[in-house]
Amino acid sequence: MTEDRFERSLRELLADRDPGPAPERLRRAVVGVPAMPAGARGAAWLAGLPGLAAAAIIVAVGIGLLLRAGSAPQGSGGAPQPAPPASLEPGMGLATATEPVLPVLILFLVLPAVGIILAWRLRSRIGRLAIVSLMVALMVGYGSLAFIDVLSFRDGAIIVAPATLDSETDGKPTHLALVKPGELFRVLLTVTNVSAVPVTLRGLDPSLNDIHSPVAKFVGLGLLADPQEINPAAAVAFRPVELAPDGHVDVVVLLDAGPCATEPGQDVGSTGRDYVPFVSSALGWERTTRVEMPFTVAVPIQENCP
Amino acid sequence: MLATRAIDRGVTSRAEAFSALTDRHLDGAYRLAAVILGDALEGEDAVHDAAVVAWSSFGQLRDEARFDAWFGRIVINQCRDRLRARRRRPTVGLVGLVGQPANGSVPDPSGPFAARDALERAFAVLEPDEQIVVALRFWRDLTVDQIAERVSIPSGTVKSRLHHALGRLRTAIRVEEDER
Repeated sequence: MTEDRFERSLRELLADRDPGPAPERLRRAVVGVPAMPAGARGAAWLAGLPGLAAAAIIVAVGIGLLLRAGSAPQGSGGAPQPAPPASLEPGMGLATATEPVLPVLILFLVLPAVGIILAWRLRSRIGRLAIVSLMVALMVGYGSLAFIDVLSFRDGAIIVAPATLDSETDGKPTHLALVKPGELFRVLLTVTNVSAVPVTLRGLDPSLNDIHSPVAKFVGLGLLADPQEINPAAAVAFRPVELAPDGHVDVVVLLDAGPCATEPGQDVGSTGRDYVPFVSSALGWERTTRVEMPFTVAVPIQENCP
Repeated sequence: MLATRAIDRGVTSRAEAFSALTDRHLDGAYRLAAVILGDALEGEDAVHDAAVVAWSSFGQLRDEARFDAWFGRIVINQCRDRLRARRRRPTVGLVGLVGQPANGSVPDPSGPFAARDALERAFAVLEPDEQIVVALRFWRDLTVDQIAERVSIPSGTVKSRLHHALGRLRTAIRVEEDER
């Protein structure tokens, strides 16, 4: 087919599609559009309703997060706000991680919905690809917050009180607490936020205590009464602390030596803890994390103690 | 100019001005929509939806002398959305099933209209944006620059879309001729 014939065919094809002047019913309908009641014109704005709904959810979630962040005490680099008067006792600073309803909602409903709506409305293929890529990156990035380590004892204070015998097991320092059965003892540690997002330290999760085990149990968490004075004996009740990236805070973990504790000596064993179960939240993801200590806190125990 | 004429007639309210302007440009908009969509009834729906959208943002139109281009752009956007929706939900027109050309119609390789059928089918599977520029170029006889202004894209993009679209249409014709 020649170029002329091709163009003629194409023009004929399009001309055959031309229906001529608009029918009267269309003219009446179009001219009457301004007189239509608002509800009858709903189709146009209904199309944008999912976008508006998604935007409203995002705004609500954002406000909720801001309010939540605003209600938590701000730890500037981890330093606690003016300490509450109560001194550290068993049962203080305990928390339980809540189900991450809001983050899951954002991850599986809001972000995909926003991505689909934006991609749907964009005319450019590259733009749609960019939006989809951005949404996938946001979902992966936000979802990964549920799994990455956000807290660490990488540096700072390490004090076990009262007195300990120090040794080394398999290259790892061991502090053997010299305690009596049922005696409470304290470990002072510096917790650092090693993630790139703000993290709120909410407390200690005692659910990981094995009630049938003779190992020392986590019974409380506190903060230093005076951050300048590194004295675990002067710890006060814990309050949630927000840690900026690389921010840190000194905490005092209260442990119960348990009924099997005894003095070190012959025919005496020991059991230890080498992690602390913290409850923390990062951008709405709340979880319990076993933060590994760079040493083991052990308690000498009687052989064959139930 | 049109607004001035409307004022001269004493049509001063916003709604009346809108009605007068759409009435004046309705035929062109409807015919363009029908040509792009290949379906007069769907063209009616597209123009009606475009009128609803246009009325909702009529206050943003500063220069009523540009109503034709502005309304035409809205109509084209409506057509583009409908073509995209059609691609997501492929359908076979009833008219096509009884032998007249339509989207998804069955080709008749022995008939005199085989090339025309092939062209129509090839046109139907062009990208929506390509169908629009081809219709504006070969039905409306707009220049590349006029199409660029009408569709709000650079002239280079118009040329590129026309080039690709015509290439695909020519290929479809050539394949059909080879098969005969």
